[in-house]
Order: sequence, then structure tokens, then C-alpha cells
Amino acid sequence: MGELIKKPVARKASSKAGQEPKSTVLTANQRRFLNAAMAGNIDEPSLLAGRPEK
Amino acid sequence: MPKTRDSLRYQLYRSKALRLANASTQQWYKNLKHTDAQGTDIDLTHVRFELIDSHALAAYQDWAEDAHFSWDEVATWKGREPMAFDLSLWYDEVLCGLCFANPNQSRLRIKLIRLEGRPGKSHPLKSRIASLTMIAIDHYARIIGSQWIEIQEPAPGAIPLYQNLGFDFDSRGRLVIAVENE
Repeated sequence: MGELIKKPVARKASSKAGQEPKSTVLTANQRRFLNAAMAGNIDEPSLLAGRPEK
Repeated sequence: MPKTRDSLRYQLYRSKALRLANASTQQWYKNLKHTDAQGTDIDLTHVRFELIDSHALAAYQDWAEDAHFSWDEVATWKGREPMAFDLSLWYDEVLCGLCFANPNQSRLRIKLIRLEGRPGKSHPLKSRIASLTMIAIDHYARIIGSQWIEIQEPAPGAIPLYQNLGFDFDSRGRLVIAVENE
């Protein structure tokens, strides 16, 4: 009898995908992003991410 | 599942994320104005999070010559990646930023592939493009169940800015932030 080969368990995102967050309470990350947007005191280049194509 | 159904499902997720980004930004700003009497130089109620549609592409023509990416091709990118998230960032009728992000197959990680602000020294959302974009990406990431947001190829000059937003390099050198769950 052949040896039982265990397949690695494939990880996948939660099957709850698509569920709208239950409350409108902001997460700490979201509050940080909004605080940074309010401050707007940084020198931001126009290119922020990605390899330019042009 | 047929691809068309997948495509419709993710179209719905994108709409939800934009609705939440618009609502949470407006609500947060209104609450702030209630509690903070100090004046601010930006009114976030004028900010709009939208998809990159024909209206955005028409506005993009104003700065297409100086742009870093060929956003006219966004329909092709979206066609190839049904789970992708595209964003146009507006201040009233001024197009200020464009973004394209895509989750990996497992959806555990959403990668920000392209992000740029309107070229030039000044526009209404100058210095706020990355932070506002993250609001929308974060909502989308939470809806589709992603655990990480990754900046795939951060512009060298923008790395401190992402770190200021809470991103950090992981052990494999990827600039990431964990998505918080409720």
C-alpha cells in the first residue's frame, strides 16, 4: 500500500468575504489614515507606487 | 464559479468599499468639526472616492502627458483581474489621484500596483493622496477578507510616507500593513 501523502493545507481568505463591516466604527488604521489626510503636512511625490510605464 | 458571476460579485464589493470610504470619511470629518473648534485647511466633505470610469478618464486627459502610467488602459487591466480594485480620487470636480490594486489568488494579500497623484506642485489633495487611498483600499481589503495590504513597488521618495501611515517592511522585504478585523 502506498504511503499516504499529506497535501499542504491551502490557506484562503475568510469565506465571509463580501460581508459589510458591522459597524461604522473606524479601525485604528483608518483613524491614522484620516488623521494623516487632515494633517497633509508631508512632501508627497506624484508617483507613489508602481513602475512607471511612460 | 463562472467568471461572469465572480466579476459581478467583485463589482459589488468595489461599490461597497467606495460607499464605505465616502461615508466614513465624511462622518469622521463632521465629528471632528463638532469636537474641534480649530480651523483646518481642508474640508474632507468635498472628497469623493469613485471608480475609474469614463468621467475619470476624461478628466485624466488634462494631465495624461505628465502621468507615469497609461490609465487609458485601465479597462484592459480590470478585464485581466476581476478581483482588482480601481480608484479615482476627487476633490469636487478636480481629479487628484488614480490607483489600481489587486489581491493575490487567495485574497489574503491585496497589492497596491499603481498609485499616482495629479502631477504638479499643487492640487486640492496634494500630500493627502496616499492616506486617502488607504481608506478605500482598507475598506475593500476588509470586505474581501484580506489580511495584508502591500505596496508592491513603493516609489523610493514615498517610503517614509507609507511608514508614517503604519506600513513596515516584513522579513521578506515587502512593505506591508496588517488589516484590522472588528
